[in-house]
Amino acid sequence: MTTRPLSIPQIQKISFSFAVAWIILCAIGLHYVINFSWIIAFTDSTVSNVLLAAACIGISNMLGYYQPKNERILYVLIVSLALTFVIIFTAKYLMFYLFADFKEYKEFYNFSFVFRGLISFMCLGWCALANILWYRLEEQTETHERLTAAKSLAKEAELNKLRHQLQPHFLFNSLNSVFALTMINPKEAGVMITKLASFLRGTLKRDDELWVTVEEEMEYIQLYLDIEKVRFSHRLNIEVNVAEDTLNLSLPGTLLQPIVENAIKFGLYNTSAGITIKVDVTLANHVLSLRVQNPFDPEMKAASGTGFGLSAIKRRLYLLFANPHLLQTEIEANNLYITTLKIPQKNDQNDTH
Amino acid sequence: MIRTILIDDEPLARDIIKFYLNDHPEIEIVAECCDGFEGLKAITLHKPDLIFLDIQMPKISGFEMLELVDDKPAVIFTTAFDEYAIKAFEVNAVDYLLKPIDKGRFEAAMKKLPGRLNHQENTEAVLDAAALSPAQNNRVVVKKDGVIKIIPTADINYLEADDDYVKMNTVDGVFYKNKTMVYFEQTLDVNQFIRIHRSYIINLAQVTKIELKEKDSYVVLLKSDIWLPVSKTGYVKLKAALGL
Repeated sequence: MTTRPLSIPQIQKISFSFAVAWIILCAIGLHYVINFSWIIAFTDSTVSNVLLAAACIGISNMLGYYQPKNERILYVLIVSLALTFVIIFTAKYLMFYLFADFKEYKEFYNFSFVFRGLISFMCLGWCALANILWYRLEEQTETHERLTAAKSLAKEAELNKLRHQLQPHFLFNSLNSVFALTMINPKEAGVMITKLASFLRGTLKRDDELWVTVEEEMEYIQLYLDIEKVRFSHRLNIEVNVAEDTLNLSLPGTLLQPIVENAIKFGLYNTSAGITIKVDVTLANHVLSLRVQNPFDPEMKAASGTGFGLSAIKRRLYLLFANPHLLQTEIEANNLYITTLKIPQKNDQNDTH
Repeated sequence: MIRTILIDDEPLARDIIKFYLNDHPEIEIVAECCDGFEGLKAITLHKPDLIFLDIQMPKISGFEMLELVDDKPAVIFTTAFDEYAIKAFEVNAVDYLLKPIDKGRFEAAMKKLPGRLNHQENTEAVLDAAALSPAQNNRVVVKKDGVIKIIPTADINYLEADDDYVKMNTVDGVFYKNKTMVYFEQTLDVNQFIRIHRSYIINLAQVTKIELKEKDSYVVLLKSDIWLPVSKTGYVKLKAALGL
């Protein structure tokens, strides 16, 4: 339901003061310019203007129930015209009844009748148009608010979806590895289960907290890397370097994990021999930089096709920062593939606890 | 003896199958591989009767590897999570094991094995279905002179029917694939590839001009400077695809 302009106290006050001032002004005019007695001047002004004000209030409320579309605005003007006739004739007969004996006044009234009609019509018409505009603006604000709400909901849903996109394969493959360990190496299986549990707990926690500290995120990544190490055994070597001054900075949770996952996948595609994945976390010019390095096979890269991991991260970064350039990839000599994630630091986001 | 190869990128996943196979002395494991390239080599070398094949693997998927095998052995697929593949297995009644692999399920698959060792028709049907999956329809895997080549579909200029094969004219040269034109018509992106003639499918991005040759007979010029004939129905499709 839209708000009516006349239900707002401030507008009520202003309109009321304006009406009173206008009545006094008209009365003064009638008294001094046309030389009527105060009583006639005041009665005339009050009757005409109160009727006009009532008509204005009527139109405003009517438009509150029904807002005409563009081609119907003509009807509003017709209604205004009809109301004009009603009020000027009512005023005329009322005044003639009250001051039946004043011939001079009657003459003046008849003389000014058309003029009064024009003024009333202009006032009513203006009032109607102002009200139409008001309701249009109200409607637009409402639509806009609804759209914004819908957009932010859709964004939230998309972020959630992107966060979860990468889980099932990892989960079921890890469970399979743990299952194998329970028979082959029960002690190792226990370690792996607790790591998997901690990792999953971290994942669930990240659903509630968008931003996490680097320290937390790196613990989470370490768990992930430990699990991957068990899955791919001797083939996977990992080097993680986190600069001391970055530990209390923050980043959106679960952005880094898919990048590392991607690096492992493409690293292992390269060769059946061991590979090394390097993760470096540094701070430069107030920008947190997370650099992941993996070896790759240039021939496989061109044909890798899917690579949905990185495009999902790009989309998330765009939704979060409206900046598509925060994720960069480059290829170094000796077939090293580097993925760099840059997270701008805002002071108010540093404190996530 | 049933000669068997295990193909999975995760060592522990192979270990669990080996562990289960301890109870099956009739099975002999002749090789273990950790990706599709190795798998293909091992299959060519050992000619096994049975393979345990993971789907999600480095380099090429289990499906893509299997497409390149000429004499297909019996296959038991293993997968962690792939709704698309699972649907294909169920529809075509092919055996598959979900990870973590349950012993009971494993034994059930082994029990059905003798009847399957020489019937691979269903496997072919699964491969055709898998080629439609989103994970696979943006590239084609081929073998040439014993080397595996992965071709992104964007690199295909045009396809030409050639007896039992389809000749793929790509940015990197000519390759042959043992499939039908209909197969490609169905698996390639319809917004990118159009069958303009009984014998030709072209990449729309390659079209430079279309000309009227004779009455009702058109020809199309590709960027690679090749003229190809366009059939009547092909012309209608081509026009629609180019928005003419």
